[in-house]
Amino acid sequence: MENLIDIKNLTKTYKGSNIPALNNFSISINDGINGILGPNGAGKTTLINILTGIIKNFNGDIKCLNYKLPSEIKKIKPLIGIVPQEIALYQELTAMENLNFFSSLYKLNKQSNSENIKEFLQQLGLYERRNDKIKTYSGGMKRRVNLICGLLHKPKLLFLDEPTVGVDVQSKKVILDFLKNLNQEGTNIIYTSHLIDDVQFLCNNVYIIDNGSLIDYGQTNDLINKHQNCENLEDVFIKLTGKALRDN
Amino acid sequence: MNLIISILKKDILLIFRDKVGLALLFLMPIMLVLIMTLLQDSTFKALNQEKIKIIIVDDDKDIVGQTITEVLDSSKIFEITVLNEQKDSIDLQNAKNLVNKGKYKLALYIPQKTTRNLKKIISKEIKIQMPNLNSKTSKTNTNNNSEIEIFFDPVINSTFKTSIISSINEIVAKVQTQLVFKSYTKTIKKITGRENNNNFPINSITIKEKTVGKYSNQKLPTSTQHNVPAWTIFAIFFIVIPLSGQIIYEKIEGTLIRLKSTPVSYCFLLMSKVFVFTLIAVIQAFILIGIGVYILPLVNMPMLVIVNNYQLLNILIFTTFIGLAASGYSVLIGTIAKNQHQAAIFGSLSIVILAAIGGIWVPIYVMNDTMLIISKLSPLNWSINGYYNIFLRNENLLSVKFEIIKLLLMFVSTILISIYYNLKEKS
Repeated sequence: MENLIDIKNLTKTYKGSNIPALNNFSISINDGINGILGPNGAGKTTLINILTGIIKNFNGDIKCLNYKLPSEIKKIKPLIGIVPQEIALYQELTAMENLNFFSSLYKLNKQSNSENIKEFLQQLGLYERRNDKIKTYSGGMKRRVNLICGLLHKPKLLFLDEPTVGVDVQSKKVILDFLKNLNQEGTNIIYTSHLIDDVQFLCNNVYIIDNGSLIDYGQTNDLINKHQNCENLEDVFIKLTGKALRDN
Repeated sequence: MNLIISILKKDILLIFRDKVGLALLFLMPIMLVLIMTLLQDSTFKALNQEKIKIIIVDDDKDIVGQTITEVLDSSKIFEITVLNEQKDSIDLQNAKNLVNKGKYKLALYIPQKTTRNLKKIISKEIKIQMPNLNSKTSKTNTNNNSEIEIFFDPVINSTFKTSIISSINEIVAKVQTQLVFKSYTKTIKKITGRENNNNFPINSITIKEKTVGKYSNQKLPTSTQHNVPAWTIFAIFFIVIPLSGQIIYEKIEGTLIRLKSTPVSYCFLLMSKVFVFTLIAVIQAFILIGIGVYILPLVNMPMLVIVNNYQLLNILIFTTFIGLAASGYSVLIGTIAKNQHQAAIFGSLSIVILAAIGGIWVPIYVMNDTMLIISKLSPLNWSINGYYNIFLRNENLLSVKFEIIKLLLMFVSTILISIYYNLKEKS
């Protein structure tokens, strides 16, 4: 069986920097919900930007959904969805207007697209407010619309970057349950988050990266059991990446 | 097709829901046209049609006084009130007071015996040149010079003063010539006995003023004809604020990442913005033309003259090119700027500077040679030159082909630089 993602010797150094954001990075990611953990500056966002075709200039071999990057990015784009950390929506447009616009970029069937939108809005408790402008929504509601925008074309692989940041407990639960259902229906997920509890709850496999390299990976429970004196994923993370601050 | 409609719909909705942007795009230019036309109207009227009120205190009541009054009156520039001290019980001091209060722009005082004194001087000169003539020569050497005095309103500028003084000098010189000719004719008659009742053909060399161009009988530009095109261009280029703002918003809010991850090319999405904002430029132009044609006459301003529908079509096409250049520039600012604050400050300042050097604020004909060369670098200058050709001279698009080429090149180069910058930033 082919892997979802195959990366061999990926190196990416930004212009003006001597330190590579990703350094000879190799990884194979399988189907399911895969969590990518790493402290600030570990290389998570660079990795996602490369996999989604936003960054095209790098060294190494990458295969995503069996297509080579960056040469076959046009074939990959319709198959992937992205939910950025930012609320990547037009605040002055309503939820419906945003969803209609973003789905139109995938040239979907109008009828089935409308049904999809309705279904997602109902599942995430937004249908009643669908005609309100995004700027009038709470943080949790904005996150949920942000999530739907990445799903409208039913991608095979969904990239989620901190999808539960700044939301209340109820919204978080709705989002995480929704993602579990989504995976059961066949959508593979690559999930990056600082909220390690969320990763432990959601992900089948976890990849821990630091300083542009993969430092450990495995099934979530196996990873916890593998490291002595670690009771949960957070303990494993601290053990592997240290306690030193990374954002100064 | 659905894709194009959807993208256009999104861009149009974003514009029409941005109230500040809308005010900047439509309200600001309307206010600018109204205010600047009203402000500059007196200047343009002074140049074109409104008569300058002057008062003449004619105590000479003879040929010099009459001729000066007649010639000034016939020039149709002045509205003349002629008074004299005895008949109108007004003295020179009263006239000066009226000028000082601004009721008249100037007072012209022609003292008593100006004509008589002039005749005496001429007669004396003839006698000096022809001493053998059998006539009495005045032994007394009195000074017969007369002095015509002009009192100006203190607010009158020096150019206006100089032109008035030279006009009066010219009239006086004509009168003097006529009187000299008459005196010599009289003297020659005495010598030869031959009668000559002809006047000196003083206007045998005339100057005829003609305006070059198809519509040579057309009047000089009014304040409306200057301000409507000028502020339309300014408003069109001010789309830099909303358009660059939209691009930066997409960058900062993460929408750009989502857009770039979709199968639709980012250039295609940019072109939608360019299309919508070029459309906005055309709408702006026609709203301002409407203001010039229908609203300004209601507040006693001159009407914008649109000769025919063909002229409107030329305006539409040329405005499209201005809109493209302005959109390209805005896309470039939005691509390079790091945040909305940076784009707003740099965008608006650069447009104000380009407007200043391009002849929007100050007409280029008052600029010095260096500034004239610099003005040619401004896209707003290419635009106003094109508009002048189309609005004022009613020329066709061929006459503005170089302006169109320059605007098009600006559009293409700014878009290419933006795309290149985007790709470079990605890596």
